[in-house]
Amino acid sequence: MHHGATSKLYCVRHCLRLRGDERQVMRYERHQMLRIRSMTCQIISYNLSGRNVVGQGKRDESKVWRGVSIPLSDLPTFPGSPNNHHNSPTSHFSTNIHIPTTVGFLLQTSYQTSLLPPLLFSSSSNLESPSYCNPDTTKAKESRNRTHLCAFVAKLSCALLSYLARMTLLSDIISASAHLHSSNHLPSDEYDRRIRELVEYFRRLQTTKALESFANDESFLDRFDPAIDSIPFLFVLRVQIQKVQELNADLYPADIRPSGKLWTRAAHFLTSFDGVQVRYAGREWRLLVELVGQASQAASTPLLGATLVKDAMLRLDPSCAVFTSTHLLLVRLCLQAKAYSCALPVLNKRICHFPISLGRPSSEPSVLCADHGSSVSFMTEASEVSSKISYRDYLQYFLYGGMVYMALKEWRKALHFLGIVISMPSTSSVSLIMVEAYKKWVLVGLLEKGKLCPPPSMTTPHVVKVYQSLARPYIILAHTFERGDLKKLNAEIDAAMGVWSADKNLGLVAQVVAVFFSQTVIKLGKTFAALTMADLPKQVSLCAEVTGPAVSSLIMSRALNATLVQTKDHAESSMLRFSSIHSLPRLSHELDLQSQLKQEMKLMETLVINLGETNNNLGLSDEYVDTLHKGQVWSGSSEVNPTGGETGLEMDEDLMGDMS
Amino acid sequence: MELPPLTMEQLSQLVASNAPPSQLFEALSRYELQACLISTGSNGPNAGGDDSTLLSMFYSSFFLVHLLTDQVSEARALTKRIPEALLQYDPSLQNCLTLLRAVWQTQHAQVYQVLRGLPWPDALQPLVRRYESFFQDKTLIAVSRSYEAIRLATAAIHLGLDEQLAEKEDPNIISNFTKCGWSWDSESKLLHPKPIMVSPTEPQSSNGIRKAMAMLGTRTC
Repeated sequence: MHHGATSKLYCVRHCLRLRGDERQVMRYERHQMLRIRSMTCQIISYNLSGRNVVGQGKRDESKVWRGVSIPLSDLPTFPGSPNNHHNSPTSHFSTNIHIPTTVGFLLQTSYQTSLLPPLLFSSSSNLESPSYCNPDTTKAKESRNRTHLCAFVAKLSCALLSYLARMTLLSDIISASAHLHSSNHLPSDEYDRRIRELVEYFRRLQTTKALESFANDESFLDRFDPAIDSIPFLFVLRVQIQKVQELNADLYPADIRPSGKLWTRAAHFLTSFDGVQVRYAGREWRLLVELVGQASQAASTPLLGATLVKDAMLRLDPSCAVFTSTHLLLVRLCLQAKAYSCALPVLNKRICHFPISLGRPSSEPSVLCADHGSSVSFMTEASEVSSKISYRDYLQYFLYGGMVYMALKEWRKALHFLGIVISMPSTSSVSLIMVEAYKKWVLVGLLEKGKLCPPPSMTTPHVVKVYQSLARPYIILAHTFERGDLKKLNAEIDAAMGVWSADKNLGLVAQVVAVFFSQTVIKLGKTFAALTMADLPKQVSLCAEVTGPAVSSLIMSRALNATLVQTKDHAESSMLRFSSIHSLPRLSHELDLQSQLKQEMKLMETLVINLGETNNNLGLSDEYVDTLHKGQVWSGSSEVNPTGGETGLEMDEDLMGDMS
Repeated sequence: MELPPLTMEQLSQLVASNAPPSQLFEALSRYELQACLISTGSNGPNAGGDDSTLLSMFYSSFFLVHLLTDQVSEARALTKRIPEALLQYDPSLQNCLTLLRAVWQTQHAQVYQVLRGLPWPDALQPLVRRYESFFQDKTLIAVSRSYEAIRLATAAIHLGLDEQLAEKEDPNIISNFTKCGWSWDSESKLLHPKPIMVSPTEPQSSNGIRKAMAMLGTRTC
């Protein structure tokens, strides 16, 4: 179709080049067109509601015109006319270009339109007595009109050219994409080559700005299904977004914000793209995901962004085992949206890797589309699926992740996340993020275990000292809690109220007070086998009316492993039995354990797979090869052990042994 | 699959369906995005005056489904995502807040009172009834594990049964418990619960528990 259109383009251009002939134009005007008997060629007819135009051609003396279709948005606005042809109330518009047998031209509209000044155009039926040929018109006005007409035709000519070039490109893109579809059955290395070629092709188009010709073409993306044609869809969507951003002062204009046209496109893409194809366009995918997240924040609807980002992450890498910058974006969005469980599908996955650079620069790139045991094989540094990750990003992710678990009152998991932050290796200075995490660690430790939890054993001693110095009020609070004196605890809390408030830990501190009772009762269980409910208030400094229901609630929520034995008489106190003789709860406990063991087993399986991958990558690293080489040299000179790798390891042990 | 637009009809149909709680939760989670757009006024020109009714119905349903899937913390987080103006003045959402408070503080009697006594919209009734049943199931399991011996009246309070009849040792109430495997000591006037076990992988929707609760029968006395 486009080849035919191209030949027509040359025809039109040839005719329109004649526009500069002032003499003929003047002559044409002077004779009020009465003598002009041109071949009329209706080349364009389009309407505002439709997407494309049906061009109709009439037979010329020398050429056959078949017509072209041009979207309305591609047509230039006539100078001086209102620049609103996209929103014009005119429902139908058609233009005829009359090509005289000599030279000159006339643009004519057969319908009223806001696109072209009515002064210049009239209906076909009025050709012989056009309304614009007002005898009172001044020469200056005529000249201006002529200039405008010429400019318009020039623009129209460019639009035709541009349109036909676009059609050619579209055709190329469709065939390139179809070529990839037919490659599904091919071996992975061949499929890999074809996707790489396709992505390269699009990157070239992006570099040469050829894709920009689709920047305003809303119908372009309708031609592609993001689930099948993920690459073309993604690249053109990115170009359209960039164009909209360029045209607006706002970085997140309405089209990009939730429920905007491009937002809808992006949402459609992120929930249905082909995960294998997108492995090859990691950078573009990431930029889109980041944009969606930021736009939702700008529109104060982070929930929308969080949901899309989560779906996109799980679609690209269901294991989420490689830490990326998108992890941080997701958790931040979830916290802002207060949609904590939205982060769980990602937070609950174990992170085992950072994006790495695979092999040496000269080595062959891996086959990204193949089935890999671990996602680290395709979530590489080169794929740019993550932006540069800093130490700070890593700390923030685990701190925010801990905060999500805190919001859901999953204290054990929160402690695990905070433990990762506070035990981060540090040589000299300590990050404030680590200090903040330590403060929360102290409070969460009280909530989960009822005591001040020491930092993980791998925490550097000098870092622990920094924590103790900067989080002093928290440590004092924890010691008071451990001593079991409610009055002193309240006094400590009141004394440092400004600290909790400034650190935004007031909510956690309030919960520490609430949990004081349950922790005290749990501790009593370590001393007593049973207590009457009448004795309990004395032990926990609470009134009897509150103690009974509170204990019952603790047991029923399974926070306290005990049972209650009521008596017939209301006046007689119930018994709280810590060491329960109830056999079935124990059995139930075993079932819980069994379930936990199953979960742990699944986790171990995941870890083993990722460990194998890490081992493999370490084995291919430069550092390992250098060490291996040194080991071989050493072993060769001593002629002790011919197996280089193991010798290297033994050498270290021997050296350590000598030193000790 | 394209999600149908969020409308009262669609929502009522979903709420009235007998779909498992997890499916309801999944469906309403997807609708929350549309609700979010409606509440921010980004839902296009069709957003009209009925939006607050629709949003109230949606958020109330979603809240109850959170409780139905035993996600109390997340239900609390949901109340913070509901537009403030709607939350403050909508009676249905105010009921939800009262219910949340009672559930959060494990005040069983208060929970039944809110579910049975407060005026809930007709469209929400199926979910309210389902949650009442769920809460009763859950409490029965908890009581069976927490007490070695329990007075009939205390058990009745926990399970939302008639306390007055329980005080009078109504045989119907006693038989409801004995059918669950609990034993009744007429001398000591105490029930001795038989702990109910639920596999952690199987939520409380297991047939065994359902059958047990069906025996209770007289939920609203």
